[in-house]
Amino acid sequence: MFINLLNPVISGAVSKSTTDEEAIELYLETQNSKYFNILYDRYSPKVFGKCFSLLKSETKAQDAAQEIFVKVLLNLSKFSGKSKFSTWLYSITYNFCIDMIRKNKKSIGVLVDDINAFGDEVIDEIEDSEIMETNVLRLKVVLNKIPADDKAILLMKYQDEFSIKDICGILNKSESAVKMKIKRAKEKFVKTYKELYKEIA
Amino acid sequence: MRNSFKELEDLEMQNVSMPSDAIKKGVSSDIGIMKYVSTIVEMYFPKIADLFIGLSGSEVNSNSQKSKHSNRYPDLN
Repeated sequence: MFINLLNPVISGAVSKSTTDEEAIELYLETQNSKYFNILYDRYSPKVFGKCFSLLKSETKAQDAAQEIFVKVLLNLSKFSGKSKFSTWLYSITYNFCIDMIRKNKKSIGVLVDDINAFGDEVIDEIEDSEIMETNVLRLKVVLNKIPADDKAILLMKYQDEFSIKDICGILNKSESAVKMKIKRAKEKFVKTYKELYKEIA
Repeated sequence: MRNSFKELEDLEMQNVSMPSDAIKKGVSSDIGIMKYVSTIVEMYFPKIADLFIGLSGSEVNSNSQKSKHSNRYPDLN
């Protein structure tokens, strides 16, 4: 009775050179799961990785990845093609994970901690290289210490290499608000790094 | 310029095994359930609507029912 939408036997016959846009168009025309499988196989590892990075639990990441792909499948007809499919997919991923974190955390407590910890200290503009060339293991530790919102925006900017315009679309904020969020996130990163490793990043 | 963020992404993907089959089955199951529920609603919603119309005292416009009745109870005149 239930349609087996993600049959791996069917997906093997489709060309791996099919672009995201082609796969979407073919899926919407034919409702054949093999085209959605292309997108799933191509992006599911990264989606899962991002969920795991933000949620810090394999079980939660698995549940989140499942819900994200269900959401993508149900809303594929609404994808306008103005941005890349990957940008749209990762925007759903980040927003979903941030919402999950907000629901689970005691948000008032977190905000108070943020204000107390990061006060009014004025920090000079931080170069991108200062953040990007951090030792990988230290980068992981510091990212796990800063608030999830800040971690997410740094991942969007430096890991996914989204443009400011892309990030505005994902977070539904103005360009100036996004630039300010990135600046604040970088400041928190550097401050946390200095506290942990007592040296300049 | 070196990008530690990308190196971190590669490192995390190596260290974590994604349960691909479990997620695929979950997505398939969720979509299947949604399609099943929507099929049920499509099948029975008109009948439920007719029931409420009937309970409210209005007549349900159903020509097939009238013809059935006429066959079952022939005109004796």
